[in-house]
Amino acid sequence: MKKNEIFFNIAILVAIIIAIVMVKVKFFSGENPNARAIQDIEKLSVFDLKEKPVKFTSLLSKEDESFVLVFTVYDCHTCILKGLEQLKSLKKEGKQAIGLVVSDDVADIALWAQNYEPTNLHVIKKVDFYTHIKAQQLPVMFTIDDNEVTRIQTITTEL
Amino acid sequence: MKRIGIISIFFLLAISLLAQKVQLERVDQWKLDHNPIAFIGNTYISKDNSIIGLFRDVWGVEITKKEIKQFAGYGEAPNEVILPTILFSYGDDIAIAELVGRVKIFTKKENSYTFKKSIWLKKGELPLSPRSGVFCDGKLFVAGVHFLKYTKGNYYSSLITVFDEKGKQVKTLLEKDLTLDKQYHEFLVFIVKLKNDRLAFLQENEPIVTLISPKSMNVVKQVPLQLPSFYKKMPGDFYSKKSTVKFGDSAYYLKMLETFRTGYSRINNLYFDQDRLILQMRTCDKKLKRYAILVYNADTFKLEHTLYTDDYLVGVKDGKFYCFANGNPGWDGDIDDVVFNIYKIKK
Repeated sequence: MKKNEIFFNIAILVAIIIAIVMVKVKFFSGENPNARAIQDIEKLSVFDLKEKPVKFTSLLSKEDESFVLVFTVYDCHTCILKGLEQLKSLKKEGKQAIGLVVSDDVADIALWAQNYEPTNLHVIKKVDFYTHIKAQQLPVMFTIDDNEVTRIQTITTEL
Repeated sequence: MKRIGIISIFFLLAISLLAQKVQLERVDQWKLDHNPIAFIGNTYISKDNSIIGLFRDVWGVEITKKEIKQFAGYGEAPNEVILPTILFSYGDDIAIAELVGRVKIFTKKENSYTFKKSIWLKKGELPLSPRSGVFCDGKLFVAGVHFLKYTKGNYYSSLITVFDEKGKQVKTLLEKDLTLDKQYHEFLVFIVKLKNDRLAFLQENEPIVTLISPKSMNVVKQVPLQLPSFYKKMPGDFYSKKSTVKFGDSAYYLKMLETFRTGYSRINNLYFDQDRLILQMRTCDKKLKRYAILVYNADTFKLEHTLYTDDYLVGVKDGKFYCFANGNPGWDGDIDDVVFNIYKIKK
């Protein structure tokens, strides 16, 4: 075997080892890929419909998963209704289910909410939404466990 | 017998000549220094004789002889609107309905309109496409296709939805099954308040007035309108998906929409003034001007005047016809000048 060939084989072997390590780190390190969807969750503050500020984490279940539907009133109407229905059935199952409306006008959202069945609705100001929440599309349902997003489900009109 | 025939022919000729003589006479003109307007939506004349309107790109505006004052821009702030669909008079205030189901009320304070309150309409799960509105007897009458229930192959729908002042749905009127093959959101319908506590409803393609009692919220009667000879009826398949959608050709939809809106005697608007029901439609006749304003007696619904103009009617008050010069921008080509002509009937 020529010297060049030995060097080439070793280089390929090293490249394969590096690739395996990278894949392992990415997929098997135990890091939750959805965790970054809500950043600095402890610092996040929202408002109830009476415009009283509430610490977001105080709304979440301490023992079980919580479900948070994030949307604006301008999103696809059918999708919002679908999301609210999901919240209702989760609540029936005994889960903590919260609706989080992105808006700077809490009073307006309180008016809007009167047209729907009572849900655990809160308002997140736009600046806080853009600072803390990373969502590609709204409405979105976050499953949160132990203050960490574990699942992201975009709500669409598709069944 | 022959003599009677000849006399009656002369009599009819004399009447038609007299009828032709009745035309519009310009009594004022407002030339405004403003960027070209893209499209004119709902408009009416306020008690201060200003034009209140929903214009694309400038949105909620009050127009006087001197200026165009914007009172509702585009956005999410209280004094802004998002996806506005219709504008109508709410007593002395102005209402603008948004596609999301919110109606924003603007009131006049110190010479300009400012945001007063919002009403969220409880419209249900299926879409409502508002096209015109009236506030009467403490209720909002919203005219436009409203899907109420989906049944296999059809949408059970209404053409008028009545809401109370808190936005609660009180009643639906003119209900019928609609097939799924049409672009119903494009469909124009009009509702205006007449005297004697009556509302008049009209569809762009059907010259039949439906009279409604605002108190009982019931249809009182339907009256077919007398039509001028130029009237060119819209075809049955207008706005149908089959005739407007061509796979891979997105411009085709707009082209066909323009065909349906400009190629037939489509009714553009409906107003009530001085016991007269007034509507404007296209003549679609090269020998005539672009539009005809038809003036009907609001008691007998007899056609009293057919007035021809190239201008687009934006409101009628005290016998004065307020028009945007040279048509509605968007459908009638680019119109750079922002000029309003005010006419009276010349006898």
